[in-house]
Amino acid sequence: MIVAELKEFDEIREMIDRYSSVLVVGCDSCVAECAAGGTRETQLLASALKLSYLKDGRRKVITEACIDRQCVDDFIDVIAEQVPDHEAILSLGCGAGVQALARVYQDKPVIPALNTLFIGETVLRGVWTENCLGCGQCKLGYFGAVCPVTRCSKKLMNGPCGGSIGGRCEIDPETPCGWDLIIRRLTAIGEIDRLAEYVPPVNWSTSHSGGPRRVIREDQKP
Amino acid sequence: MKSFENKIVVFHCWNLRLFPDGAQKEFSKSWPGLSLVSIPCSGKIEAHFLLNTLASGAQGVLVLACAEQACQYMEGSMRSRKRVDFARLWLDKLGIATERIEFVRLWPVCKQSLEAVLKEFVTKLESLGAIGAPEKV
Amino acid sequence: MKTESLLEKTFEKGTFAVTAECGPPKGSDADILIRKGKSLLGWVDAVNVTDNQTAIVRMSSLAACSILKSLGHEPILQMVTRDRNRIALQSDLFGAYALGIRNVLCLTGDHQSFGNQKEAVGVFDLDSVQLLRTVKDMRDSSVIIGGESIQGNPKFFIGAAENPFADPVDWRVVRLGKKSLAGADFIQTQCIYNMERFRKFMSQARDTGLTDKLYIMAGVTPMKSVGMGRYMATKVAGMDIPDELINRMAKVPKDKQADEGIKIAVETIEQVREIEGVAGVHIMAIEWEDKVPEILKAAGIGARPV
Repeated sequence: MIVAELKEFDEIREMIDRYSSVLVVGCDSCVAECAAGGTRETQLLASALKLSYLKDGRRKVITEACIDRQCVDDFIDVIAEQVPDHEAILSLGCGAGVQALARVYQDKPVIPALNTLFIGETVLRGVWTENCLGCGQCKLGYFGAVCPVTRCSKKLMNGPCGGSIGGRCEIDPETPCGWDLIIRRLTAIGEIDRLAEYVPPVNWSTSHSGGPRRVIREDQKP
Repeated sequence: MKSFENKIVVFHCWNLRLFPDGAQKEFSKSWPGLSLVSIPCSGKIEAHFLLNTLASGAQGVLVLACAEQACQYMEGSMRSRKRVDFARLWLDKLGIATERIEFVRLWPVCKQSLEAVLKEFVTKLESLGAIGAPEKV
Repeated sequence: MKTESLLEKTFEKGTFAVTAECGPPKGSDADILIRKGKSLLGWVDAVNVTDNQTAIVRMSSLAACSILKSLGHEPILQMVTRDRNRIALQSDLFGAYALGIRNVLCLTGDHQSFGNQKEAVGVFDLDSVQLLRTVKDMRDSSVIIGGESIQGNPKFFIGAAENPFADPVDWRVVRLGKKSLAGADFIQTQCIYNMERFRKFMSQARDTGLTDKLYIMAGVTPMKSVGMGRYMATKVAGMDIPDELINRMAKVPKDKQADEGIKIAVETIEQVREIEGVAGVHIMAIEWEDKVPEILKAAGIGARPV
């Protein structure tokens, strides 16, 4: 899932201050799972904004809505009737959601309420961790299903650096050393021999280094 | 109470059985500024209910939960505590007195303590003034 | 001899080699570097020039190498993959060789979050092992990454670092082997304070035949004070300083701690010299380069070249 978190409230307010009416739009997919932009969080942010303007004695129309998936046109249509009544849209979608709304509603400013962070998993309620950078050529099969590109702070492909102590990364004792995880995992599944091989430089052209990416599937087109 | 007419909302767990004698109407007459909202468990409370209640014109919100040991749903009243704390963090962020959201645990059927809690809360709110008016220090 | 490196020549002769670290200044004042360089002149076989160590912006390693070479030093160009992609790294390798630099030490580098540019992008296009292979392929096959041939191949004597004290412990020698396979000719280790663990590392290196393939130089850093020892033990990634050594420093009055630190460094050199497979020492006297001659003299290692 895409993991995001709410921006600082003051930053959000500063961005929407200039509009007299704002449609606050959540997304009930990834960002709902990470408790950043689902229905609940959308209602919370909308309430907080209303309260904040009430406190300042300013009139402002704040309406909330939620879309099942902000990144898919068919779902975006759900708010089509509400959009014209508002000067701007405040999106609690990920970066893709914000840009999709802006593409569909071309005459409306769309403001992000979240900082989009990473592709990750929910390891326990309230804890989300990053484990995929979307490099475009998955090598997890060689590394015991632990990603060196994502889980190692230096993207090392040929084993741990000299800063790993007690299974912890040198940059932060709260961060597990990705290579410690890889070695444990390969040992557990009896494939540690894989690590003696030299891993050549990564082809980053399939990652974002190759420019914005797209996937086209003729069989899926309408 | 005049300035606070219809301006306090109380969310309470219905297991508190605040009015076993059916005297809620009577009680409400003596507290004209009060709206009582009965919910199946205080754990059903969400932070945005509390903020939205204030945004809709209430000056204070009171959440009445059962004592931890008395919660019919094991941890419902612990959850409501966390949500109230979360809503208060938001008030703090918004520069609004956190005391406007109050959380109190009661034992079921205890009208006297309810009255005491309300009196204290109203006094507090009166000292704060209305949201949007310059807050009294 | 694979190269024209004077360091390689020293190893080939079977001489116990000495290198020292020389950190470039944080700024363009070449005089600071020249002063440091002069204090080491005649005492070391080669001088390591750090590449923005601990991710703190300093004069470029390449420029500093060139200046030190003009003083008569044999420089070792340290290169980290943190700040430059494969285009920049390979380009700098060409340039360094053209300037007469004959040794390169391939490193990944400390993470940028340690330094004074914490908001920088970490490049990490290559890792240190891939950089080793890149330098080797340039030297031995006259190609760059991707296989294109080049005009004039840089014949570097190739070094790598290894930390015998980092975790997972059993993995360290495997990684040493990987670095050898990728192209390393010599190794400089992390500062050694835990002699027992270093001996074990060396015995594993001998058992796997790596001491026949690699010149291993033992890393030594004199502690200036007990405070520095404690700082390194707790704050510097991958450091292993046993409590006994910290306590030994702590027992000495403050004004004598520097002397004690030097004494420990001298003892360390004497001890590593006795270990089979150790081909030299690498002294990292951080902002204390002028003490290197004193340490070497006390350890019974004379002036250079031998």
